[in-house]
Amino acid sequence: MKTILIWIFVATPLIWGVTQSVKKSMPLFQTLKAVEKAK
Amino acid sequence: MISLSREATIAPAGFNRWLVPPAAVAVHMCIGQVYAFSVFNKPLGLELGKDVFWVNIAYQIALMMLGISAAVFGKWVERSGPRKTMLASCLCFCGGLLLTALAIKLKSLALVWIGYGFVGGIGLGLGYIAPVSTLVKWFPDRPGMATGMAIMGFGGGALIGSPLAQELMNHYAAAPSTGAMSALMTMAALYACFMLFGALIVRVPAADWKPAGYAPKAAAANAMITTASVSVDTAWKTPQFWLLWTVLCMNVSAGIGVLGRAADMCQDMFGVSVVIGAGFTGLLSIFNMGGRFVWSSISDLIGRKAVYCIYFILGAALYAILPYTQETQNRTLFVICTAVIISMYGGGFATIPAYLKDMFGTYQVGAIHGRLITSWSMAAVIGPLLINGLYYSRVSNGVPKDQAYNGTFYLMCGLLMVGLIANLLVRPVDPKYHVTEKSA
Repeated sequence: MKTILIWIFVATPLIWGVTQSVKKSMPLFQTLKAVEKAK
Repeated sequence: MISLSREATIAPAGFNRWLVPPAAVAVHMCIGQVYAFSVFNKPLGLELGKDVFWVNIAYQIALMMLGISAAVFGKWVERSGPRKTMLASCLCFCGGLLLTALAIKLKSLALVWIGYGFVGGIGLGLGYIAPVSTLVKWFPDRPGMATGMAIMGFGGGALIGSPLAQELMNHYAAAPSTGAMSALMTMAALYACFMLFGALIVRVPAADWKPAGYAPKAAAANAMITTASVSVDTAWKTPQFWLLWTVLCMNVSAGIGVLGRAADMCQDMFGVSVVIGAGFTGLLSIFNMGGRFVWSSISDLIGRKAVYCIYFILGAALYAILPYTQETQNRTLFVICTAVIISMYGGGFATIPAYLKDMFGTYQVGAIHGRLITSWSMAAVIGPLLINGLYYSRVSNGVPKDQAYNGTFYLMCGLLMVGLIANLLVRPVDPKYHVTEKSA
């Protein structure tokens, strides 16, 4: 239990950081999707 | 009272080794903030009334100090153990952030260079190598995965550092202040909490400890994994050290080719907006982080030499495809190729400690790693110099901007081929370099 809690404590900021990067990348994904549709 | 000595951190019997990687990740994800320093460029420039160019020198000093301090303090790190080193790293790195905040108050650019660059840079070097030796000793059966986890934290540090600084500056900003001073102080406090937490929970295994069911492979079974040890002072006199130095240097130089100019490249080659360019950079950061864990874990299964061959051969092939993606305007293929390239750039960083352990044993692997990452400092200088130099010379010779990158991609292929040759030349260390009981 202690190990799991420690992992959660450390992983939370990393997951937050990844989420922020995914949000930042959304316009790129939307563009790629639009290009694929146009094909 | 918590003792800082190495002896005081020896784990009791029955200690769960899975408590050690979070300690390493906690430190690495804080010091990884250095990758996100650029977010402070403009605010610091405004606060100090200086050009961004001058502010950014602090970042370059920090990276230089990372390599120097890791090389210089490597033996001290091995002697002192991870807890004392992590604490020293915390004091230097968070102290550096506080000195940068003070520099804003005093309007002193020199203090930014000294604080973030020099003092903070020492913290980076100490923190970077602090857990390496400990992790390979805890995970002799999976050293790639273990060190990969820590170094993944370093890659993740940029993902946290940039949005965190932005959010904090938005929160504290009140004209004419940009909020950078308060943001730096808050970040120093937050990072200190995580780094101290890491220092508190880290443990080293007892000298005779082995994971249940683990039997060290006999040298005869896999010649590329030694059961002997080489000291740091001897290791750097072996050809293997310099071959691995070249391997890392070429891998990093080639990765910087995409990472350093990612947003501009995407905009120039495909005519996309600044927002999409920034999105592309964000995506690469995720692959940079993920690649560190995935590739280094794969190296435990197929071997270190084989995984570096993949980095170099696949990397060169993907670089060679990039001009085609521009000609055909195939953005999806471009994104896929660059994402894989960057994952291998991160993988190169994460796999090298395990490669060193295979070559030189666990005795002073942290200190050897410290000396080897001077190649990173070198790559951070020569990579951008080569890439920017070639790009701008092609543009000034009338090559259209969207095609000007093609030459740099072929240059990256060449660097990767040099790395491949160095990797193929790696052989087991001559037994004459091994530590004997007498010399140890």
